[in-house]
This record gives sequence, structure tokens and C-alpha cells, in this order.
Amino acid sequence: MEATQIASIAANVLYLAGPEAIDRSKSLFTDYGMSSLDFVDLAFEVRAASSKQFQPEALWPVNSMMTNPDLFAGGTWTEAGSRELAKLFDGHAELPGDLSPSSLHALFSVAYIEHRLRAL
Amino acid sequence: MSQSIPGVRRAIVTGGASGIGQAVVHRLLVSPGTHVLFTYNSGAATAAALVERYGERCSGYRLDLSSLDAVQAFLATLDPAEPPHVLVNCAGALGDGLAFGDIRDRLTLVTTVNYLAPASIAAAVAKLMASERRGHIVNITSVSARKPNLGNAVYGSSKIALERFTATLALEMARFKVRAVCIAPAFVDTPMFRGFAGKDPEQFIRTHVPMREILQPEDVAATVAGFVDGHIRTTGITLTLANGELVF
Repeated sequence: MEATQIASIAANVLYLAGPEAIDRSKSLFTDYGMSSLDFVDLAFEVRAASSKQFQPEALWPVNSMMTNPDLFAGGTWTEAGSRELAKLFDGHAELPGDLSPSSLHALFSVAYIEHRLRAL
Repeated sequence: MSQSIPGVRRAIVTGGASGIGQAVVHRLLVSPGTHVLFTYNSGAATAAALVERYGERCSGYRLDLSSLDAVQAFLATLDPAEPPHVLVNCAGALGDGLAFGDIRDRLTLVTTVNYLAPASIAAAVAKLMASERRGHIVNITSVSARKPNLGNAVYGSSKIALERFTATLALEMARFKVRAVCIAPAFVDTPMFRGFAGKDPEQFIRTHVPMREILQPEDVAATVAGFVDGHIRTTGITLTLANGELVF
């Protein structure tokens, strides 16, 4: 699924003028104020448009990974968790030095979604 | 649930083998295009009779709502490829008794059956409905949520918890075109009422109900149908049905 189509869906969900209003490398969460409800809306629309079958959580698995004590414990990523993160973003972006939720949210961009869909 | 057939409306009704739930099952099945999956805990004979009467448009699932593990197992049987169009949570437990002393068992049971279980079911079904951008959810609560009486602390608090949950669920589901309401009946002529009203239900009605008659389960079912059929266009509210028991 092409980035333009993803950006168009995101713009629609976020009440922006059109895909041109979205920088594909910028975070939909931190730069465009996407809420968790917006995310679910986006995920359903992307799923329908892509004809792929996945649960919304699979588009951004970071949240569910953080509830897995094998991957995230005591407020920090385990070795296994760091490996899973690296795998998730492999081929898309270097992981930031700070793996806090807010830093990772900064990676949720149209470009990331295009990358993630290839894996789903 | 039934195989995907164009035009089929799929409905889930909890507590479908007695009282209000049974009336809702009958009412929904008046529409030939509706298929109902109802849950029940006791009332196996009634459940079997319903299935026999309506054939492949109706199926029953034995579910003990006091077990959240059982609720999860039930939810796991729902096919995400065929989300329900309608959910009506009717099942409930009374659990009346004084509100002081050791009330843990009663509190746990009634809160689980009347709040945690229906809220969990509504949450799971809402997500399925949201992916289809359509759906109607009805949670049957009670005027007891707003009318304290001696002995109804546990029951009343469980019902208002469900109303509060439904209100936020409705807000979140609104953008996905899924409507969710509570219907809060006052006294309804059901086995639960007959057990509550004591030895002389008619005298109880004369002294406690201004209209001197109580609702029938079919009255509640008709309101449910009015909402899920789209004649009552609202969301996030609690609609009280009463004969004068709650006027303010």
C-alpha cells in the first residue's frame, strides 16, 4: 500500500486538508496529535484499504509488547524486548537511544506504516 | 453464529432463556432476517424450546457470567469476520441483602454478573462492530441504579457502574457509528420480581407502583427493538421505563 494512500487516510482521520498536509516522516502521534481513538480509526481504515487481515494492535505492537514482562519489565526493555524492537523497525529506522514510550511514539509515521504493512 | 448471508442481522442476547432476555429474543426474531445467539445459565429447557421453535435462526450458549474466564471463552467463539449487528445484555443477578457486615461473596457475584461480565462482552463486541462501522448495544440496567432502597446497595451499584461504563463506551464508539444505550426498567413481571415482591406481589404493586401495574418483559423488548431497528436515534443515554416508580 502506497504512502500517499496511507497519508490520505491519516489526513481524513485527523481532519486535515489532504495527504499533502502530512509529512510522511513525522510522527502521527507527536507531530499531528493522533489520539488512541484516532489510531484505532486509522488502523481499521488502513486494514480495509490494504485488504490485509490484522488487528489494530498489530499496526503498532509497541503497546502490547510493553505489557509482556518477557519484553518489558521494571519500566525498561529486556534484552528480548530490545531485540523485538530492533526487528520491528529493521529496514525502516534506527532505534533512538532512549526507548521510552514517547521516543518510540515519535517513530509512528506514514513511512513506518508503509514499512509495517509489508510485514503484515 | 450463522454463516454469512447477505442481509442477515446477527444479534447476541445474554440471559435469553428467561424474563426480559427471553422477550428480547422473541421480539428480535419477529424480523425474518435476524439470527439470534443467546446465552443462558439456568433454564436449559427454555433454551432448548427457543432453539426448536426458531430453528437455524436461533442458537443457545450456556454461559455462567459469574466466571470471567467463561466469558472470555465465549467471546473467543465469536467470528471477527461476522461481527454481530446487535448486542443486548439482559442477564443479571439480584443479590439483595443488607449493605453492612461481610458482603464479599454477594458483592463479588453480583458485580461480576451485572457489571464486569456485560461490560467485558460489550467492550469485545463493540470492537468487532467498530471495524464494520455499525452496531447497536443495549445494556439492561435498572431504576435501582438511582433509587436506593433497603437491601439494594449491591444490585444498584452494579447497575450504575454499567451505566457509567456504557456512557463512555458510547462516546468512544460514536465515530464508528456504533450506538450504545442502557435501558433501565423499574419493576418488570419476571421471576426475579416475583421472588423479590414476597408472598403477595399484587399488594406490593398496589403499594409501590403509582400506576398499579408493572411492566411486562415485552414492554422492555419493544423498546430494545425500537432502538436497534433505528426508530430511537440516540446514544450514550439511559432510558428509564417505569410506571411511576421513579419520577423526579
